[in-house]
Amino acid sequence: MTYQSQKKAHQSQKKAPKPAPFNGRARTVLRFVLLAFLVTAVVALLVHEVRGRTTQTPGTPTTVSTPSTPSPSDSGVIPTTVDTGVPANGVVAYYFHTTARCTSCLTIEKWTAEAIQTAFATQITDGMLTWRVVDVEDAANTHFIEDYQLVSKSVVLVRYTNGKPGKWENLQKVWQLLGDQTAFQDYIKSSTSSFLEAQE
Amino acid sequence: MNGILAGAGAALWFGILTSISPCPLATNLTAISYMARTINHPRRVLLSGLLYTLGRVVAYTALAALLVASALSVPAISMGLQRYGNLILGPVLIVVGMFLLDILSLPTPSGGGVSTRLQHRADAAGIWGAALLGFVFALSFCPTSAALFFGSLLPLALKTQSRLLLPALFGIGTALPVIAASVVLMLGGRATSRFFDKMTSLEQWVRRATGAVFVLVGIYYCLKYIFGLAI
Repeated sequence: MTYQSQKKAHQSQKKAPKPAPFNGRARTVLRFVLLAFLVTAVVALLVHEVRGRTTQTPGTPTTVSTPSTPSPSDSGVIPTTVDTGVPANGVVAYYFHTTARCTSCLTIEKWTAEAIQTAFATQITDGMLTWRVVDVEDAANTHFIEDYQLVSKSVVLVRYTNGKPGKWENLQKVWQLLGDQTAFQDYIKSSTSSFLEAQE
Repeated sequence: MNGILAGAGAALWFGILTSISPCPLATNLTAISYMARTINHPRRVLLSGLLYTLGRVVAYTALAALLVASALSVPAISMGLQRYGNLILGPVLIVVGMFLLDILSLPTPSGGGVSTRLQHRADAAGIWGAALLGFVFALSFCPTSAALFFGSLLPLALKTQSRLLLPALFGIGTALPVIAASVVLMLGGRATSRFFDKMTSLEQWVRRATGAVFVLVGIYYCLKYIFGLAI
């Protein structure tokens, strides 16, 4: 658009009836309210961050963490971290989430819990399978992010032997199957079944 | 060859899956309202949609290239972007919305000539704001986009040795609802212009609505991610 045509457009804009502009008072009030909200949000953000860092330092974690080697794969490298809240021997089906929950995250948790609790009721009663929901943003649980290469909310199967974690598998396809509950739960059931049957 | 084609199809599909999940609904709505700002220039609306897509493509491609070329921890980057991207996005959207609503303004030198020219330049540069918006929104990962990008697309890109094409196709897939909306807006803008001569007035209202959407979505992000409300 040339400068002349822009000028013409600008002139025609003058002729067109304009919507009622904010009057001085409404504008000032809105500006004050939004700026006050903005400042409160930024202060809350900073306070939250500072508190988060402080609580991470001492902590009384229920788990013992040592560094593990990161891996780009969905399974394989055995973490050296011990989760003391699980049975010494058996498989743990973890659902890892963050503090902020979203619709899809809650759906994954609900469908996975349903699939595992209905299809593996016997194994759960026998202690061969345990269902655990973990917030990875809790200071004691952040190690799970590197242990199991978590990039988002995840369902991970872990085999424990003598209280130590061994083979694990991240069920990555849960995010691809979110549109189909039957396919999703079939995937959870078949993956868990194969994992339970597989030898260490 | 078949492997690359299958990979390309999967990458595009992962992008589409991301775009239709409830997760990026608020940012898609914000982007669409941004496109609608220039509704009386239908071509500009479409161009904004394409630039928004370009912004997303650049963000995903650059991030994939960075992660492949460096020894950065993928989980740490993914979790960090999800956490801090969403924390920062709320206040940023509120500030941008306040500018669009003319509640905040940058001090400009007085004098009509300079001021008018500045305004024209700002309008001309405004269309590139769509690309910036696409770039920023792509990097503020939500759980779905993070899972599909870091967990599904990246391993696929490494496996097929297609480290640029696949992230780019993923970016196009994630922008599809906004591209579709910009086409609808373009056609709608043309149709509406037959009935409304005074489109400038309409544009001013749309611009104001855009500002309101930015502010409301910003407040939503602040309440959800900073104040931790379950909404």
